[in-house]
Amino acid sequence: MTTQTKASPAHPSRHPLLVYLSRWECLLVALIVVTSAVNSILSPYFLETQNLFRASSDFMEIGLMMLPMVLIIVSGNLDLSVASNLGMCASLMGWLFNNGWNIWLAAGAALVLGGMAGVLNGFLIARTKLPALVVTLGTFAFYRGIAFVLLGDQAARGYPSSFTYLGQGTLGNTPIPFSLALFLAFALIYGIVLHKTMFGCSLYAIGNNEEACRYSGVAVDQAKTIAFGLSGVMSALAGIILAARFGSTRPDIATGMELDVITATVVGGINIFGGSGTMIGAVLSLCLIGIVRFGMGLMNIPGQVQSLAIGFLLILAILVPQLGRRLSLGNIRLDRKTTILMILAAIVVAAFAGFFIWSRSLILAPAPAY
Amino acid sequence: METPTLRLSHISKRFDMTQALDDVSLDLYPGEIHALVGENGAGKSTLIKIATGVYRPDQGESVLDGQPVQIHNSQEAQAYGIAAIYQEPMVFPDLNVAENIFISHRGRGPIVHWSKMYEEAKAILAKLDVNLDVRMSARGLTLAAQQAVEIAKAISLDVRVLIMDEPTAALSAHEVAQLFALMRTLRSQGVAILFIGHRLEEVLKVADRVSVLRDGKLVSSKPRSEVTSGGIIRDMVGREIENFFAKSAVQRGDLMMSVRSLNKENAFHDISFDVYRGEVLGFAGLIGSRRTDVGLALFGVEPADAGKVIFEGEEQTIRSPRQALQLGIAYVTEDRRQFGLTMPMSIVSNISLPMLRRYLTGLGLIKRRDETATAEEYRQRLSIRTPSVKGVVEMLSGGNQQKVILSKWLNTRPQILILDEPTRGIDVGAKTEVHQIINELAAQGLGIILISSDMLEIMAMSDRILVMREGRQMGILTREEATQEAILTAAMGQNGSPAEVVQ
Repeated sequence: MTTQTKASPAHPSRHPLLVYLSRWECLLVALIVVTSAVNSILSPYFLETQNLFRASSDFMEIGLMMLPMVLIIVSGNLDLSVASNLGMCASLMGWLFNNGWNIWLAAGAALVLGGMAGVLNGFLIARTKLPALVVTLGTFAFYRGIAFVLLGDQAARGYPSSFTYLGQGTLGNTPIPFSLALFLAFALIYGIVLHKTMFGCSLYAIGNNEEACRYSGVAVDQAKTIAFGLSGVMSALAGIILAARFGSTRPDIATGMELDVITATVVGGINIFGGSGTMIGAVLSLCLIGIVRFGMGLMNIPGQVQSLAIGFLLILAILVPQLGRRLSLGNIRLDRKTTILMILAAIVVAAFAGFFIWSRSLILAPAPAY
Repeated sequence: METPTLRLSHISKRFDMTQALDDVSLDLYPGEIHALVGENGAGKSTLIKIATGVYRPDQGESVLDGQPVQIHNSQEAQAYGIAAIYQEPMVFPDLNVAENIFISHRGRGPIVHWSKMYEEAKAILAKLDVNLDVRMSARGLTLAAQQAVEIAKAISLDVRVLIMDEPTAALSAHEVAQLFALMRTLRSQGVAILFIGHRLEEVLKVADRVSVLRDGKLVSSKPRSEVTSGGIIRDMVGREIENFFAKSAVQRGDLMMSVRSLNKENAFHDISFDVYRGEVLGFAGLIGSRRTDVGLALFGVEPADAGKVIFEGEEQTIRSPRQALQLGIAYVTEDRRQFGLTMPMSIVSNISLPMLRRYLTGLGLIKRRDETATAEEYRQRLSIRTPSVKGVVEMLSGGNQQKVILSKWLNTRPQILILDEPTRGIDVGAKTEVHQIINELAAQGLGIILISSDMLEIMAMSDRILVMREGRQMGILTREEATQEAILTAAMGQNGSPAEVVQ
């Protein structure tokens, strides 16, 4: 009998350093360096630590919700209800405070409600086998509705300063905002959870092949419920921080923020179809988005125009890893699809750069006379 | 004699290592029902796919009414009047009967003439003696009615050659009778029918001519009057067991698991068997015999409705894979891609997935080094050929992927290993290696259930063979009793002892 031994399969035999440098996370670092450099040339105020730290607190609510969103998207799901959940929890806290509750008790109640709302999401998704997109689209409307039921057209205000410290205060005499420190601590914890625990590892496996996980005895439903539960708690926490930062709560608080959260996650290189991405990538992406927005804000570029730049980033975040995968799988071939992808990526980069320069020129032009 | 409507002339087709078809010629005459039978993997499906243009033959040609034709895809086949219907009817559940019948029609202008379409659909169904409301949505139809719609669809395209691939597999006896009546109507209208069947009594009932394929070769092609069921089975077997890895004798150990009257609605009924330490229990049967469903029930993926499983002296109800794993039952799936592996992840991650708990530190963090060490251990033990265990599973050949799955399940330290088609789609070298592994595992005292459609593999590897047919247990044969004739006779539902049939 002739036994043919198969040659070992083709494997990318590229220089390890090159592989490492072509990672999306490295590209994010490079983008951060470039935008910071451009920003600091264009505006003398950009590199002031005071300014940077103060600006960072604008993104911490997004960041707090982004951390569990990374877990959810890695597992191949999506949570559209985070900002509504934030609104509901903040409104509950405000309503309880208006009715004479101690603010800290009210905040505790908000955390409990947020966790329950998240677990409800996870439970519905695991039990009904419906796509997370549909389930959380439902609770997206539902939770926001409850926020309006609780507060109506009123606002809760007059929080004590010990509470507003959460959103406005800094650590001791340093310029580091409390919310930034909180975010970084949680980012570390979530990074460890995602990359070093059984729960985190099973999320990757679920995102790659849920059926194979069921066949492997992985507690799929349980993992999903935990991830959504965490998302709920973090939404409530973000709601508390946001209310403390504003010093007041209205039922429409953080409307539309879920899109910022998902954008930050995807720009961080988390595959929207699940199964890959890193926590460090997500944190870097939040940093990059913050710097781009802050830099443009410093030059009075309106928020809507800033969104354009973020849109470019998002498209780039989807294009480049695809390109990277094509180039790293086996030998580099310039087939049609790869070429198209490269051209597209080049166009987006050029458009981004052009837009950046154009937006700066708006500012450098003499201010209109009033 | 008249010219055949379709002549498949000297067709050969090769896939990598296997010669799927070797110089096969088949004539389909108008007004004749031509039955084609053969074991799993004999080449029936390949032949159909060549006739309908899905595959191109390496050698040979299709001759339509005496004219050689090149068929490149199923649209072209339809244009020539060749249509195929399959085991599972492919109807669109939300469209109505008439829309389903005319789904492939194009070039009739942008406007749908509904009334005209209903008229024509009614006319076609009347021609077939089928009584169906053409405005009814296809969702509510029985399988037989759906099949009738498929046939009507073929008729609407002026079909001249109708290929039916095991159309009776999912039908009840009554529905089969209806289908046969339909086939006879078509025959009287001059359609040439190629009927692929697994049930011999049906073949003998409906066919005018019976051809037998074995290992890609046409063994016989005779008119109905000249064939007997014994003759067909004799033609279907006859492969030699040579150059085949044979199981070495292992002393049978203690009783490990007893299964009694296991039942699952719409899948299998009254399955009973014992598994001993060190024993390989083969599950033989043709496609649709529901062997995999028994495996899935024992592993808790699709739990059984009724029946007893006694594992090491205690009665157990297995409701989930987790529970099966805790008992020590592991199941290697036949569908590597869908249920077995997470393709984009590393070999290490795939192997450790079911047993991550074993690699945790006191703080609940994963010890990557231990995980990698396990993967290295299996890489050596099963000789998985890869530059690194951190490599992605997708990059491996089929045989090496199969070894990764085996590693994954061996790492759960099972007592009973259910192997579902463990050598499907892997090359000869890897196949022998997998057989060797099975042998070693049995020698170590595992109880092994081997589900395989490869008859020779089952015969070579098993100590005993349970034969299933359409969800029913036809018997358990010992190694001595298990000749190819005996297995096939049971699997095809022929009564009487194999010896009688062969005579």
